[in-house]
Parts: sequence; C-alpha cells; structure tokens
Amino acid sequence: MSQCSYQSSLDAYHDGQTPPELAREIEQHLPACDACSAELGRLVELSQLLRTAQPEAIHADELARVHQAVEGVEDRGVIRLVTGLSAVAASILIISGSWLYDGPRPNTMQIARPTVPEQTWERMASAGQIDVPVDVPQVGTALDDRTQRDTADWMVIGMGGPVEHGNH
Amino acid sequence: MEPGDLELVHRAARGESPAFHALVDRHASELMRLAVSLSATRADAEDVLQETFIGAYQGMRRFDGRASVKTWMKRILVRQAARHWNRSKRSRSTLPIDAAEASPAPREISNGPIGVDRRMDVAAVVRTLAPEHREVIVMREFDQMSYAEIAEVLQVPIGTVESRLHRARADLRTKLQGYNVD
Repeated sequence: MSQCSYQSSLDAYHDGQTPPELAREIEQHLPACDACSAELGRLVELSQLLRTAQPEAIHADELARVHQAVEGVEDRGVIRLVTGLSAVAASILIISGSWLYDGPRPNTMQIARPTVPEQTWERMASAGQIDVPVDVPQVGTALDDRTQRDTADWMVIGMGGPVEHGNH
Repeated sequence: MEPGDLELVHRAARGESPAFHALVDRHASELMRLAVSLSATRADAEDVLQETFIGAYQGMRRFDGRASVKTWMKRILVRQAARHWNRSKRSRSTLPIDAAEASPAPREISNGPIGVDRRMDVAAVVRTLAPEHREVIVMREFDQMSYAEIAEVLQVPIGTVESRLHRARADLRTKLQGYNVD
C-alpha cells in the first residue's frame, strides 16, 4: 500500500501541532483512509504507554538539597566579595601607613645653638688669650701672683662677655 | 499578585536571595521529572538538577529574557544531562540496574493500577534511545511541550524536532512491541 500523503503529518496532528487548516483536512481524510487511521491509533497507544513511565515528582529531601546547593554558591559569592574588599582595605592601610612613615616631618625640634662671640671661652683658654674687661672685678689681691695666674681667669673673663643664646 | 519568573530573575540578580529560591520552588518539580527522564539514575538526575540551578544562578545576570525563564533553565538542564550521561556512559559497561534488556518481554496489562515494574520497563526502554531522540520524546510526551518550545530548548529548527520525534516513536514502537494498553 502506498503511503498516504497525510501520513507524514500525523505525528504533528496527534501532537496538536498542525496548522488549523491542515488539521481540518486530516480530520476529513481519516474516515476514508485505513492506513492513516491505523497509524494514528498506534501513536495514541504509544503516548498512553509512555505516560505510564512518567517519573515521580521531586521528593522533599531532594528539593531541600537543591536549596542547600544554591545557598552554597551564594555563600561562596559573599565570601569572595568579602575577601576582595578586605584585600582592598588592607592595601589602602599599607599604602597610607607607608605614606605617613615616609612623609615630611615638621621641624619641631631645633637644637639650640648659642651664638657666642668668635672668641669663646673655650677658644680663649686653648689660645691662651686673656682679655680683662674693665668692668670685670679683679681677682682678689689676697691671692698671690701665682695663684692669680693659675686661676682660670679666662673662665671668669669669658663668662663676662655677652652670651647670645638660641631659643630653647 | 505573584511576581513572574522574569521579575524573580531580576530581583535575584540584584542580590535578593529569596527570589532565586522562589524560582527553585516554582520549577524544581518539572525540571526534576525532565532530569530523571534524561538520566541513568535518580541520583544522577538530582545532580543534574542541582547543577542546572547553580548554572542558572551563576548565569542569571547574562540572561537576556529572549526565551522564557523555564525554557532557559530547561536548556541548561538538557546540556547538563547530556554531559552527565556521556560521563556516566564511560564508566558504565552495562545498562543501569533499573534498565531491562533492550526489548523487554511483553506482558499483559490488567485493568488494575499501573505496576512499578512496567513503569520501570518503559522508562528503561526510553533510556535506550539515542540521546537526541530521548530528549524530544521526553519533552513532548512527558512535559507536553510544543514543537516550538522543544526547538527553542534544543536550539534546532522545528522540522528537526518533527523528524527526530518521528524516528524516536518508530524506534520505541519496535522496542515496546507486545506491550498492550487497555
């Protein structure tokens, strides 16, 4: 028996997927075609049989595990975000610390350097220079000459002059 | 009024975790049935389902909304199932334990409730189909998806869906010869 021209459309007709016009043509054709009627009958039977093999719906514990699996991925995403932010914060701290450490320091400490006349008492002592200012009291005459010489006149004389000190 | 799937995806992409879990609750059952039909064992199906939702979660920011959310997730699932199947095929030397021989012996079906045995036999025979035939048969016969929806999930032309269905049914009829339905 030659294949009917509508046989190739029977699957789609059975599945409700044919255009309305073609569906009407097949409906009118079926009563007159044993081959197409038989084929359609086999398609219906197969679908009924396959429907008996429908898998069971998801079980409650399976659904719970799916939710847990998704939560695991969500948590990994949060951890990754927190780790990233922590790394950025740590970098900022390190850079800031480094800048503060190496940055310019205010000049708060000035070493006081007394400005003294060129001839300080140290220099006078080492050079053996003894200048007796008029207003400096003479060493007491009770001391003998030797004692006077031994007296550290330069200490007295040197201290008699003006001393300029720096700001403390 | 309950938010639609696309609204839930957008909310989840903005970080609203409950939105994605709502999507899971809404689609897990249907996706699980598809996963079971495309997997060797139920345990494999559960893995496939979890991987599907994880893939959807990780990819939802890139979801452009051209397909429906359900179609998009089914597309992910079919791919995951195929990957799982190929991986497990390499480690499987024989058919899974719940699979009968390729042409199980015919049996008389009574008017009583469908036995677990027959369901397992038919399901096992479905698993013996070529992957591309199994996919279209499962989506059409179990999920009642339209040809256009199946084509969108598999990203093939509608004509390809039709021809694969036709061949799958012919193959099944041969393998299920002798099964009678009252």
